[in-house]
Amino acid sequence: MKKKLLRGCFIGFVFAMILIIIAPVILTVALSFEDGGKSYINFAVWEPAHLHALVNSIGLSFITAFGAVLVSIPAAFVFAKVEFKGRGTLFYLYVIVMIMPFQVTLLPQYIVAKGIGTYDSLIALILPGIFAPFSVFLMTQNLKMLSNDVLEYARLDTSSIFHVLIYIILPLMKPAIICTSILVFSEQWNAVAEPLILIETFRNFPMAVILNEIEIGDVLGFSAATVFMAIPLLLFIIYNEELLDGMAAYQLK
Amino acid sequence: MGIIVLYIIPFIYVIYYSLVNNAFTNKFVGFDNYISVWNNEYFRLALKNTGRFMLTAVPLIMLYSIILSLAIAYLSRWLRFLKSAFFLSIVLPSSAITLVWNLYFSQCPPFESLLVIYLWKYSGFTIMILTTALARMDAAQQEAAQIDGAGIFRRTFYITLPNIIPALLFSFILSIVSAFKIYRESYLLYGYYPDDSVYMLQNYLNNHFMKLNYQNISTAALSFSVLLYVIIAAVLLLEKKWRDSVE
Repeated sequence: MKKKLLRGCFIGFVFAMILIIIAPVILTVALSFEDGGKSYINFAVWEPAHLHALVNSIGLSFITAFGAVLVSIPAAFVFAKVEFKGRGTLFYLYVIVMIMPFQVTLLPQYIVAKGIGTYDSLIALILPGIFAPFSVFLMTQNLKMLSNDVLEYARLDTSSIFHVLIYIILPLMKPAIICTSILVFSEQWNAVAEPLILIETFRNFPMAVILNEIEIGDVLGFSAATVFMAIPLLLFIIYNEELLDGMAAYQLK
Repeated sequence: MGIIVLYIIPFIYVIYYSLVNNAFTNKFVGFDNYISVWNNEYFRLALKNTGRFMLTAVPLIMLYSIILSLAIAYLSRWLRFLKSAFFLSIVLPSSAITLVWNLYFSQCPPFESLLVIYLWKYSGFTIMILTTALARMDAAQQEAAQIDGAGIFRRTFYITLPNIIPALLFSFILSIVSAFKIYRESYLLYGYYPDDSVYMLQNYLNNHFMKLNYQNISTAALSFSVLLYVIIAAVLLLEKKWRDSVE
């Protein structure tokens, strides 16, 4: 009896919290239809600035996610499976940079962007995103869980390390790769402070910043927000399994 | 050959960061900068507010995620569904969330608003880490304790929690780090110059960015990160000491 009560309490509590998590999504969607979908047409036809910002966001986030995966796979492979002197130290350096608050890393980013002339372009946002240590960290932790025997067998069968990488590691790492790219994607999708510093021209601003310019309570804002939320939400739903599997390795050591 | 190329990539990255940082500190040696920044009343205000936010937000998020993770682990049948439901907030963009917040809760005091949004948004990571650790735990210990007659609360405090200390520690550090990210929500809700109660270090840094006051930013940013690392190192040391004393 007592046990049942406790269980009931747990269920109630957990589901109440889930409701709180989901509430803003439902509210945004509901509010956006307040005028019967007219604002969606307005959004598509009359607001080229918003559409442009959306395109910026899409390009920015997809390129960053793709690039981050390209960079983090070889880096993670080295960290997880190749023995070399100073590996531990180097990996700690990564972790230290990873937990560094972004305000601290923003200054170097700004200086670099000015220096190599990418300031005020989307590339200024893409480059630091691609090399963000978070993706390498997550990928490394995932690769460490991959058994060494599999790799050794593969090494014996084929001669080149690249064959192993492409035919063995990539298929096995699918969840980790998808998980990393979604997280990098949503981080970039979400970025507000970075574009404010690194970008000047209005046309180059991503949607996350533009959304804030819309007047509070305007239906247009909510339809824009719905469109804006829909993309990461879709990715989240489609790749839910992989996301969970990939995150399972998100532990220190 | 391949290996050399492969680990040059991370190296370039590390050098990229370290060089830029160093170039700055090298340029401005001497403590004059530090003295002027530390004497700045806004810096102090920012430091105070950041400290206050950390001291409230981090324990709160830890407590909240521990309770939720325990509940989720207990309801193991829906484990995957529940985990993914709580992870949802990580991928949802803040700028959409603040729109809703502004509509309904714009009267809320800023400090508390940020606290709630922080809990809402960043508990996803901690819950994910803790539930994973809980699911990996050895069930035999629990059963043994149950047979010995330990109730659910005693089992939680004496077996479950000590077992997931590494995960607790990692989520604790992550919570500190994500507490800094609250600037995003703060900007979206209150713009560049928020109320004095939420004027944090990040605001200080960003506002000096506007003025391109390099000297100030780098000094403040460095003091800031040193402070952060000292805190994290202290936590890690304490944990190690504690573990040594247990073993």
